[in-house]
Order: sequence, then C-alpha cells, then structure tokens
Amino acid sequence: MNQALTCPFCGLLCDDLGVESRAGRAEVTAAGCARARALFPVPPQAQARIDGQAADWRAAAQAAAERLAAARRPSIAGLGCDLAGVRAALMLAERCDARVEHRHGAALAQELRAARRGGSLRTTLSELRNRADCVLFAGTRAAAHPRFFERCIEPREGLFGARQRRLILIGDAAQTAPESAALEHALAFPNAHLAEAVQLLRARLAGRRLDARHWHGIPIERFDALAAVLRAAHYGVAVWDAAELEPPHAELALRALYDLVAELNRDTRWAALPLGGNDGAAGAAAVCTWLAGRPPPLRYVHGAPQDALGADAPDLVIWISAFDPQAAPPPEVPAVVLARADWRGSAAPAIFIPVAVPGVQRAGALVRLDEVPCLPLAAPAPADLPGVADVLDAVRAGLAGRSAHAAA
Amino acid sequence: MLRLDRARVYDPVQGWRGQSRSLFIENGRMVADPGPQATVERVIDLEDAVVMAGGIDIHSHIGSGKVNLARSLMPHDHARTERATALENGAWRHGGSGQATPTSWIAGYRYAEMGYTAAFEPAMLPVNARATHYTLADTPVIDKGAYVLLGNDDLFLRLLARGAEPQRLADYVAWMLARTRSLAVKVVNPGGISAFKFNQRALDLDQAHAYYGVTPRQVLRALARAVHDLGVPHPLHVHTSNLGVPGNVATTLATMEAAEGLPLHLTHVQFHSYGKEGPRGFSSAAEAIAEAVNRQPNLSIDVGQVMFGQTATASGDTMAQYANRRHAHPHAWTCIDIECEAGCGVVPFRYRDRNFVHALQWAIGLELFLRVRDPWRIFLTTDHPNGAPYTVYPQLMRLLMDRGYRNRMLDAVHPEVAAHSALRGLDREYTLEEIAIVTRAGPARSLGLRDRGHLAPGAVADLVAYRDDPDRDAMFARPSHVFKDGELIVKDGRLLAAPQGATLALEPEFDAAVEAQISEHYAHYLSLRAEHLAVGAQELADYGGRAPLILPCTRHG
Repeated sequence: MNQALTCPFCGLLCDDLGVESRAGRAEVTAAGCARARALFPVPPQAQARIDGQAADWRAAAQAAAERLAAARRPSIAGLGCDLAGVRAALMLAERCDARVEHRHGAALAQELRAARRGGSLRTTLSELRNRADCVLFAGTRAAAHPRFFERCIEPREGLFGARQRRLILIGDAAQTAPESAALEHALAFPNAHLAEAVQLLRARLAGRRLDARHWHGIPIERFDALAAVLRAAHYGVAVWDAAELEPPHAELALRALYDLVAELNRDTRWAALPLGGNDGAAGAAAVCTWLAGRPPPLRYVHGAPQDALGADAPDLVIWISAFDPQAAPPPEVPAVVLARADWRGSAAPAIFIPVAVPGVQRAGALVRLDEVPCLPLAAPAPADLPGVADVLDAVRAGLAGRSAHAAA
Repeated sequence: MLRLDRARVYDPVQGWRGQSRSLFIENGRMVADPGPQATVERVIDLEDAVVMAGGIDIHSHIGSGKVNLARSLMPHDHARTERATALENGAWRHGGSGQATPTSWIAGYRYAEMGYTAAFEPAMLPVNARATHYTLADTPVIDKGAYVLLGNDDLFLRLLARGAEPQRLADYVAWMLARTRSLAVKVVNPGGISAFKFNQRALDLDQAHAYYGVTPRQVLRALARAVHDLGVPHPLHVHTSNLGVPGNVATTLATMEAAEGLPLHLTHVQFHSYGKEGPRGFSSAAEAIAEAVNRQPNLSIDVGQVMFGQTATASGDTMAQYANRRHAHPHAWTCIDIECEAGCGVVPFRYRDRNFVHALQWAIGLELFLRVRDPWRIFLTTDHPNGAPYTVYPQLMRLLMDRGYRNRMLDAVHPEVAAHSALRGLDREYTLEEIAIVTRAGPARSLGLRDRGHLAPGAVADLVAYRDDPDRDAMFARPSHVFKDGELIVKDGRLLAAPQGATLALEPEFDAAVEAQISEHYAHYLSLRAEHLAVGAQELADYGGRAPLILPCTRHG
C-alpha cells in the first residue's frame, strides 16, 4: 500500500491518504473523503478519438494542432491539471496566441481584484490548526473542501497546547455540512448582503454611531456582541470561499473582510484564509503568474502575455480536465478534450485524448489552496497514458511544422 | 576547442589585471594554453574587450513565492510585455513581463544579457521549496540555487527552547538543507517572524520571544554554529532584527558581536545602517557599520543598494513589513503567516530621489560600498527587488567607479542629503578589479563555488566581454560577448541561445533520528507531511530543469 499520498481532488491537498492499486485502479484505503474515494479509481485506459473515430493519441494531438492552427480565437481552458501541465499550456498558448483560462478563474479574479485594492493579512492551514482560537466563517461552511474541519478545525491539541475555538458563521444558512455542526450562526442573512454586513461590523468596531436599531431584522446589538468576540480573539482567522459569493458584490465583500481583518489586527492577531484552489486552480495561478505575470484568465497577443479582458467567444477550446470526470467545456464550441479516461463531460467532443491523472496515474505537483505549500503527487496506479504536458507539447510540436505567426 | 584572443582579463583569483591574453575553452571549461600544436576549432577576436568571469548575484529574490505574490499585486509592473521571439538556434526566447518583478523566463534572459551567469534566491521556505525550484528551473541560462529559511519555525524554536544539543540542531539544519535542495541557510529577523504570530510587534536582539522565551541572539548563535559545524561553505546568511527602523545600527552592531567570531554574512546591510540623529530623526550610520566590518574578519556583507523608481519590497520579515504597510505604493500590500515555518510580506514601494529618507538610503548604500575596505567581504546587491531591480547594476557600478558621476547625482537628489551624508568626501573609485571581486570572485568564494567566479583552468567557462567605455553604465549594460558553459549565448547584448542552467545544492549528512523526529512533528501538528517537503532530483528534471549539482560539504565539530 502507498502511505501518505497527496490527494489532488480539492485545494486542501490532504497528503495522508493510503491508496492501493487493484487491477490497475487506485483505491483509497485510509483517510480521504467521499470525493477522494470516488475519484481515485480511474480506468487505466481509454480510447483517443478524432471526430468519433478511434485514433492513436499522437495522431489526435497532430489533428488538434491542425485545428488549432486554423482557429482564430483559440482558448486553452478548464486547466484542471498539475504544474507541468499549466506550464505546457502557456508554452502552447504563446505559440498560437491563445487565451488561457481556468475553470475557477472567476473566483481567482475576484480574490485578486479584492487583494489589489488594499492590504491583506493571510494565514495557512497549519497556523489555523495550531493557533486559531476564533474562526469566522464568512458566507461559507467550507463544503467544497470536505476534510477542512477534520484536518484544520477539529484537532484541538496543537503546538501551543489545547485550543478552545469559537467557530462563528455569518451569512447564508442555506447550505449544510454535517462536519460543521459546531458553528454558531451569529448572523444569518443571504450571502448577497455579506459586504454590507461586514461594513456594518467594521463601523461598530470603530465605535461609529448608528441610527438604525436593526439591519435586515437583526438587532444591531448582535453585531456589537460579535465585534466583542472577534476583538477578544488571540489569533483569529476569517475563512471564506469566493466561489460561494456572487459578483458583483463578492469583490466588495472580500475587500470588506480584508479590511475587517486588518483593523482587528491592530490590537490582536487576525488573518484571512481564503478557500478555493480546486481543480488545480492555485497551481495554475502560481505558474501563470511566474511565467506570464498574471493569473488566468490571460491571453497571448503576438507571443506576449496580456490580461484577458472581456469574453470574446472562442472558436476552438482545448479543454483540460485531468481531475474532474464531469467538467464540461463551453457548449457549441468545437472542443479538443484532454481529460481523465472516464471523462463524460459532453457527448462527443471533436477530439478526445485521455490523459493520466496526476496524483493517481502519474507523478506531478500542485499548490495548496493557501498558495505557499507546494506538494508532490505520486502515481499509485501508473497507466500507459500520456500526461497533459506530453499531449500539449505534442500539439506544440505539431504546430511548429506549420507557419506559426509568433515567429514573425 | 575555442580560443578567445585579445581578452583584457580581470581575474582577481589569478591576479590578472587587464593584460591582453588568449583564453582557451574546451567541453564547457577553461583550459590552460594547449600550445601551438593543439587543434583550435574556433577563434573569436575580442578586440581588447574587458573580460571577466560571469557575474554572480548572491542575493536576488527571483524564485520564491513572495516574488510571485509581488507580481500578482503589481499589475502595472506587468502591463508592458515582451513578445516571444525565435533564437538563432531554433529555440525560443519566451515572452513575459515585469520590470521590478520580471517573470521567470525574462529574469533569466535579462541576467544573461548583462553578463550575469548565476543568481541565488536567498529566502526559500521549506513548504515552498518545490515551487521555488520549479520557478528557478523556469529561469533560463543562469545557474541558480536557494537558501533555506530557518530560525522562525516552531520545531527549531521548540528544540532550542528545550535546550537541544548543538549536534541535534545541526542534524535538523542538515536535514532541511538536503531535503529542500538548498545551498545555504538564511535567518530573517531571528525569532521575530514567529513572535509576530504571538502578537509581538518588535523583537530586539536580547528580547525574549513571548512563547518560547528564547532571544534572537540565541537563535542566531545556534544557527551560526550549526551552519559552521556542518561545513556549509556560505556562512549563516542573516537579515537582522529591526529592518528599516531608524536607530537600528545598534542592533546591527550587536548582531555582529553576537556571532562571537563565527562566520556570519549580514545581508542588505543598507537597510540596517540607520541612525536616528538629525532634525528628521533619520541619519546615516554607514561609517560605524563599515568600521565594524573592517574590524571583524569573520563578517561579510551585501549592500542592498537603493536606486530610485518603482519596485516591490518582498521579505520573510512579516513583523517589519506589517509595520511598513503604510508606505505601500501602490496601495496594495500583503503579509502572510506561513505554516508554523515563517512568513512573508510584500509591500510595493517607490523610491523617490526628492524624498529625504529615500535619497539618504541611496547615499548610505554607497557609503557602505566605499567605506568597507576589503572587497572580498562586500558584495554588490540591490536585494532585488527590494532596493531596486537587478537591472540597475550597470548604473550602480558606474556610481562606484566614477566619482564625478556620483557627485552629480548627489547634487540632484534631496538637497539635505549631501549635508547629512559624508558621501561627497569619499574619494574612492572602484577599479575594474574591485568590480570583478564584488560581483563575481567574492560571491563565488563565499558560496563555495570553487569553479566559478574565476577563469583558471578547470573553471566553468562562464565569462563575459565588455567593450571598454568610460561610461561604465553603458559598458556593463551591454556586453559584446557572454559565454555560458563555453557556449556563446549573447552577442552585442542580444540573446543567441537559452540553455538550462544548473541548480547548485548541498547534501549534508544527518543522523537518521532527526528525520524520525521531524516526520513525527509534521504528522502530529502540521497540515502536511515532512517527507513531502523533499524535492526529488528526478522531479526537477521531469519538470524541465536539471537534476541538482551537489557541492561538497564536510561536517566537522
């Protein structure tokens, strides 16, 4: 059995899984969540197809190169893959002036826009686990990260002795997660009002007078009581998940939360822990930033990276989904799909090339949702399938035979 | 074999001071003159250009996660982009962006184009080691390496607080060095990054950490001892307490003494050479610092010169960076507590020549360069990007070599700086030989790179030719030829090829018991396993880099 493997199926990158290979398929035998148990088993093989016809993966990559060369507004999207895959995607995009987008790019962009508008104090999972005596869940129960509570909240025994944690939820009460039963739902309101609620909380923390006695039916005293709790923390952490907030208020809410954290931090310690990073999003943001100066979405123009503003509809999508068997490319655009062998995101993509799942069938690396730790992915069930980077490199080599305009 | 004719070589290791001679290169290395019978396939006439070994930057933040944070916080720095272009050999010069925080491909090309062939990332967190090495693998042409950041991690502080034997601490340091593929050890604000997590907002050299009770002096001494006992070539690389604080000269001087004779490298000392005299409560203490360096042969420093313009400050020192947040320009800043290991803070910053403090910082850096007498113990850095991006090095070299130019610039900055700094009275002008020492021979010797930084037979054939020009800025900005591992990679400032450079690292031995202890600590308390910090040799090659080149490191004591 392979001990202590990293799970690539959400941004937490839990690295304590036991995995066994049975008949070429990986099975989780220790630790792991329901998602890991469902996604580790993946068939060792699948058939590459060009317009529904079986083909060798190299022939499929060559066909993809030809369609890419003919495309005017290509997009490399989905981007659910490891760091090497993202790097290969950028090198291909640079050669054919493609857009590069991640499936969770909207959440990434919201996060970044909020962070660029002021100060941001942040923390990481181990700091939260060992230090936090107060955790403010802002509009989230961390449901997209199944083992967040188990790994970061429930362990009470830490480096600095036992921790009693206040676990406080503000915002939407609609979602439920069994692990989060211990949350005190301090302020219940729709997530669309989060920005306003946090501003109100900041105002009360700053000692500002309010004429209103209630806000959306909540007595202002409840805000004051919460402010007192937050202020009393020794090490407080504000947790949110931008994917659970709707634009345009999301960015305002995140900015207000960062400001709240910075203000609390004047006297005691506070920091934020934005959740996210699923489908390799944190790694994609990191690699795109060090190679192209910006996270996805971005695009290349004459071989130079630029921000991808607006949404000009692509005429060809190279859709990458090495982790999620269901992630679907945008409909009505011809798609070249590089995905795990059991992918079923759409009925009949123009070209389908099965790829090895990093962390299951092939070694690789990913960045955790808190952006700093970068963890290795093992291959407990190696398969005779190309990696995402192999296929993208082959497509690029196929382009090189043609007259790529970036050479001009 | 390649022969380079009419090379006016400045090689301080061999005592060559610009006499015109021929150089011989075979299989990527320098070789002795093989005599008239030897077959020479290619001859390049350097036309009496000034020739030196390739430049070596001992302290440049080009690989760590904090630089990536800086990139993402500075969209304006990445608005101007560079296109991908095909090189003569069919390879590509990739596109990219960024002036203060260049993207990694571009960072490698720019170093090579100004004749630098190695640069070292000085602050790599163990949990970020893999991403750092991948970023460095994506930094082409130059050789590279990284210094692992220790001394604020809870495991080390626990061991120290519980009185662990020096032997055990050395094992711990060795494990971290070997597993994270590091070349040296750095400590930033010893204990202070951790103390900030306990809400301490300042921590002086002899002040106790609120939880562990240990002082920065104890942390510093324990690490300096471990680094020394392990035989790590580069001394402990120290970013002292009280970065940027007026009056921090006292702390810096005390830190120097705290080593008690053990080798110590103090980094970006310009930021640690401040008095608090004068009407503005901010003054130059460069003279006292330089005198202390001159007096104590166990010390070396790099300067962290400030030059004017927009840049980003990026440091592991969350305590200092949090205090500096109000100076952020543009407005965005970030500080992160990281994984019971350390932290990082990014504060974009614009140094203005008409601002008294900024202009005095500029003068203090130059004073240090001019007052430290032994060029082998002072290295040219801007602490890229903290004082300025490394692309200002040619201008900085001119400031050191050309007193008239220096004084004209002094006339142009904030008018009170000339009165509050002794800069104008310092007549010294660096010679080409001294430039060769502070930009290559010295850093190579300090890092233990025995076959770099000079051009003796056996040395790696990394060398650069500059057309002699009284305007040293123009001369150093655009070399006529740059060779990497014997291959001509730059001609007249233009990149011809972009080979992958080497990653240099150490593999010190350690007692197996420490591995078990570290594993247990991570498994019990942290959110990742210690074994996952380890960066594999093959994995770097798989990603597109090269397997690390291991330098010797012999334990003693």
